[in-house]
Amino acid sequence: MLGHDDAEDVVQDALLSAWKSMSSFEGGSFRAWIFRIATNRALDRLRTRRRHPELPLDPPTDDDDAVGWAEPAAPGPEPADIAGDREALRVVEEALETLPAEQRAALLLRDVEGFAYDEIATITSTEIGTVKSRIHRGRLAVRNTLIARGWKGPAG
Amino acid sequence: MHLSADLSAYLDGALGSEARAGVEAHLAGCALCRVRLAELRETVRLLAALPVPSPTRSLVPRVAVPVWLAPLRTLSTIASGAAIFLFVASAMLSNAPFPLTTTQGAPAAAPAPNTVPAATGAAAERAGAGAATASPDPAKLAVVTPSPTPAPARSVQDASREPPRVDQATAAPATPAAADSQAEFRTQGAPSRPQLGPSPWLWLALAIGFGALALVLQGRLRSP
Repeated sequence: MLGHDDAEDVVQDALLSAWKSMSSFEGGSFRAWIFRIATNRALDRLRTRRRHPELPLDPPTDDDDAVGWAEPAAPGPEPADIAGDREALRVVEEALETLPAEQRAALLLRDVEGFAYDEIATITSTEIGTVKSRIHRGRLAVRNTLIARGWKGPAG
Repeated sequence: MHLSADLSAYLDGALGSEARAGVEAHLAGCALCRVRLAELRETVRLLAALPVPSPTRSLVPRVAVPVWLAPLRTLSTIASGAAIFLFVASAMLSNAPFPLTTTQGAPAAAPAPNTVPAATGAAAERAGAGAATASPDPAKLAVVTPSPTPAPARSVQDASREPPRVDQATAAPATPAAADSQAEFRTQGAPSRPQLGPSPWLWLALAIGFGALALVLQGRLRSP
């Protein structure tokens, strides 16, 4: 979610904080506990970096279905064709950077770290419904970016 | 009305059975939603395939604890345990009555190297004296020697081997001293018991010392 150096600072900070507050660990998944600390640190850092920290990073949208599905572009004269996974992954990383931080956090916790919805709700201190919404909107945004870059979907 | 957020939840197996059945029913009759589901699934696959960034430096916080503390704690714990074992073992050996050690046989008597040479030496001297008085009776020797079983056996062997040399060297002057050395041997030999190295109390002191050291080190490691 952050730049590389910032990410390392946050992880180090989070590990130190976890070490100090080891006594507050109340069982359950230790991994989720560590991720909770690290995720909160990362989001805090992003908030303080912004000019208007009072603004939520992820403006709530009531209706998830309002998020549009971009349609594949008609084959133009110069389609920016995404051939292999390597190019697709580069586009995915770009798309992730444009996501609101909380969406990105939920999406990464789900699809990269493999946490369940209820664990992500605990880690990010939110409702499961919010988690579900963030994950879907994040995926949809990544998918839309891929489509916009000429990705042909799983078939292509 | 096409599906949206439920497609992601469906992919993640996060829907209840009723909602899942509804999604499956819709998918069966909606080609567009099937395509979108496949796209989402592929997006998830790409996300999962993202390269994992590896840190360029160690991110484990460096707590100000010297590196050698942990191994030293482990070593002192082990040493304390070993000392306790030695304390118990040596205490049992030195306090056990003789019948116990003799029934235990060679292994029990074996770790008592201090007493055996003394016994055999004294026995040899006595044997020499006995030879001088012309009554070298091995059976009698074995009876008088108040050592555990192996010791008399060895002293008898030594006695039968030694006499010629001792005989020649101390034949004449040994006679008056014979009674003395025999009496002396009896008084000295009686309290000799098999003992595992130094006093058991030394082992106990070591055990306590190492245990205290281990505890102190553990304390340092837990709360730097």
